[in-house]
Amino acid sequence: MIGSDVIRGYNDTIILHILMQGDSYGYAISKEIERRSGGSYSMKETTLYSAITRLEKRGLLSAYHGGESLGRPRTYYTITGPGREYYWERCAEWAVARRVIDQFTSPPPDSPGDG
Amino acid sequence: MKAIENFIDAMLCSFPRTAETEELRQSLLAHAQDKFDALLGEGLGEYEALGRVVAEFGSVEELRAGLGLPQDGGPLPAEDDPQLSDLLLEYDLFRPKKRMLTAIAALLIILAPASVPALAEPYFVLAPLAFAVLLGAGAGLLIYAYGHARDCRARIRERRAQLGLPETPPASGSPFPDEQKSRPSRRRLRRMLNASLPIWVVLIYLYLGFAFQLWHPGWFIFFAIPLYYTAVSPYLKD
Repeated sequence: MIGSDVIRGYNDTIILHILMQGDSYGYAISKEIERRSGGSYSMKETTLYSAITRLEKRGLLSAYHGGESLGRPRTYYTITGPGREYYWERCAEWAVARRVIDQFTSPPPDSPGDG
Repeated sequence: MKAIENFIDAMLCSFPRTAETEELRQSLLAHAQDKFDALLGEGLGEYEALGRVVAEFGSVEELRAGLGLPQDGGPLPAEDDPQLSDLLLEYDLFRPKKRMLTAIAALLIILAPASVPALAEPYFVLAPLAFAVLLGAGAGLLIYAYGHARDCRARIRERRAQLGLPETPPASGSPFPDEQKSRPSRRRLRRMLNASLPIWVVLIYLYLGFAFQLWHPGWFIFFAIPLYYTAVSPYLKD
């Protein structure tokens, strides 16, 4: 299981990615994150709803009431235009970040002192 | 499961009672219940499932950050005190009911004397009973409506005092501005009339009836009650 600190900065991107596939509600988003990560990452409820609230305040997603299922009210979330733009910016940023981090996390081809 | 609801409520107990918090509460509750059901489906016992839901839920600080609340989890500004918000909400919700109850009470009181001549001969013996029941019901409603409203205001004042808030709330949030602005003499007069007007009216009516046999046109005096509460009382405020 990956520690939440490692991914913290990209929780928003993960949520927006799920919503790029279609509108969804909290629990379904959470299950989808778990499924996509093969069970390696599970977002805590408070992390999820804190991120959702923040994204909503910034106008990157919007909420609407989607009726009830299993007798429970469902609030669905949908990604907005600015939300999509923000998602692609974050993807580009991650591509750069990954290249940088790779430079420091791949084993060096011939480390000094090996031979 | 009630325990899940209690857990969510405990988590949000320091949050201001706003529509945003209520939305969040509903979402968290539905989420936690979904997860609880899923864990039961995986074969966990109720307590084990509840333990997992609670343990994996996360920290309240994150939620506070999401809502832009103070990070230290410290006390909310006194004006946002949840208990005070509840009391103000209760009072606000009761005020339209109070108006409705006053109107019904006035109607019952007006109907009380009207019921006497309305009952024809074979049932005329029931007239005092009908009179007493209608009058009693009307007076009871008035006592309840005004007594409850006064209790609400007293509890709000008490809570404000506990929180160290000034007795006069800010103008915009004032729950009963009329009382705050009144001059003491007018306030006293209004309080006296509010509390005792229906009783005075009944006494005057009985006096007119017994002394001058004015049972029939005399019941017009009961119109004074709704007239006072709708037309006169508001003008006594300042």
